[in-house]
Amino acid sequence: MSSTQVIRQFGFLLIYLFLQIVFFRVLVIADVAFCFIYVGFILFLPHETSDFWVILLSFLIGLSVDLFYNTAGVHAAASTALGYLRGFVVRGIFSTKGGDVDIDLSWEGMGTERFIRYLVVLVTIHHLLLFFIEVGHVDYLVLTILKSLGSVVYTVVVITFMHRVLR
Amino acid sequence: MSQLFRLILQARNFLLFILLEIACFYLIQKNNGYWGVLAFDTTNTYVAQTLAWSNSWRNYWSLFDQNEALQAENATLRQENAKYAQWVGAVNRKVYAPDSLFAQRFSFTTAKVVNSSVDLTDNYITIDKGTKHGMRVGMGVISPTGVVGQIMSCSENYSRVYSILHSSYTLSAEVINASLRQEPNANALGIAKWDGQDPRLIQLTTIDRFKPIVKGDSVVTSEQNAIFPAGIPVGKIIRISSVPDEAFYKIVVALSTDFRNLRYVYVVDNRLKEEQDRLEQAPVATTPSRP
Repeated sequence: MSSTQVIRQFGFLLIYLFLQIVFFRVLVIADVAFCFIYVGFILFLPHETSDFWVILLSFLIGLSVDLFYNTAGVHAAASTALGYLRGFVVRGIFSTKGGDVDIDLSWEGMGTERFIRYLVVLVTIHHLLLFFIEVGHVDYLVLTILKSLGSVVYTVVVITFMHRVLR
Repeated sequence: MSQLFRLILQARNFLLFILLEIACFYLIQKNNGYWGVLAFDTTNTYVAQTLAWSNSWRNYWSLFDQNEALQAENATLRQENAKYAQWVGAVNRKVYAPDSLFAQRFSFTTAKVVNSSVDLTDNYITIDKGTKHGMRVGMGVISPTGVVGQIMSCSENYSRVYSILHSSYTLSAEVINASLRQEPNANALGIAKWDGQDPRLIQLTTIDRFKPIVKGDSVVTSEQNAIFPAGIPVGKIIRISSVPDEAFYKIVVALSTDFRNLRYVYVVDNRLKEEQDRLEQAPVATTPSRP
């Protein structure tokens, strides 16, 4: 990756964190749907980024969010897992292309259907992990699943909107 | 040997993943401990300043509600004041007269809320007063409308508070109503604990089934705690159920504090708490000596 790209990504990291902490931390819908827009940073890191760096950056952004949510480790654990699984999902979704030639992780590069599938699969994994780690037990299974699914819809809609309109 | 290195190189992503997850769960474990000492939370100065800034515009928009709450509080204080003025003359002071040191043991400090959560299993509140302003770990926190929680950790300028919406926080509470007040010895003491579901409701347990309690009764903090003054509102009973085999009621209380809209809180300092704690933990004589 060139140095301009690194700086660009660093800028994105700050923007995602800012939006998460200042706006989406308080924009909770009906106690069940949360928007964790910062996962967008992990999902749209350029494909050239090595898996090693994806995992490390996921951990760091998760940890930064934890600081503001008073949940030391919970977001970091879920997003590290997301960073690790991202590579596998990308390879799975682009398996028909053969090899990893010119994979572009964006709406234009993936096509609508692939883009939504990519988003929904990874965001669902992340949110289920997040909420189950946060609760720490399975006593309120229905509530936890409801929270996760409500948040998946919310997060996917917001990330898609940002990606399409603001970039 | 070179094969081993190649293996490590191949699995380096997986190893990094495992390593970081272990770090995460270590942090989670540490954070759940009752006295988490890591500054890895919202008492960190930079984090708290950011949060205070992002909260400032919300404060502005809630001024109207704040005014209303303050007026309501002024009204209740006036009422209390009048009540005590009469009480001084009315109560039979031969039975029990609290000495002035005991009666004045509580002092209050106002603090502003810079961060709070209600939707997690363990919720915390961060306030803008710290060790510099005399805050200490273990002090109680109340709002104009009722109980809020207890200070968990302090930094120089900020403190982190356990909300009563926390999976391991329990509160000694008491039900009050007219029929309980008539008999001086019939008090209905219980333990309030949040079940982690609805931030507007709290569960009250260990009140036995034969107490005359009905829906709509008030729940307040009891005399049996050194953290809060007695009689601070917790909420109103909205559901009572009892299972024939069990000794206790299952009671659901609607909290009087709206945790979602907390802006200002009072930190309660009990000057005699240390003395009481010391006494309660002191070694006891094995056989009571007789005169």
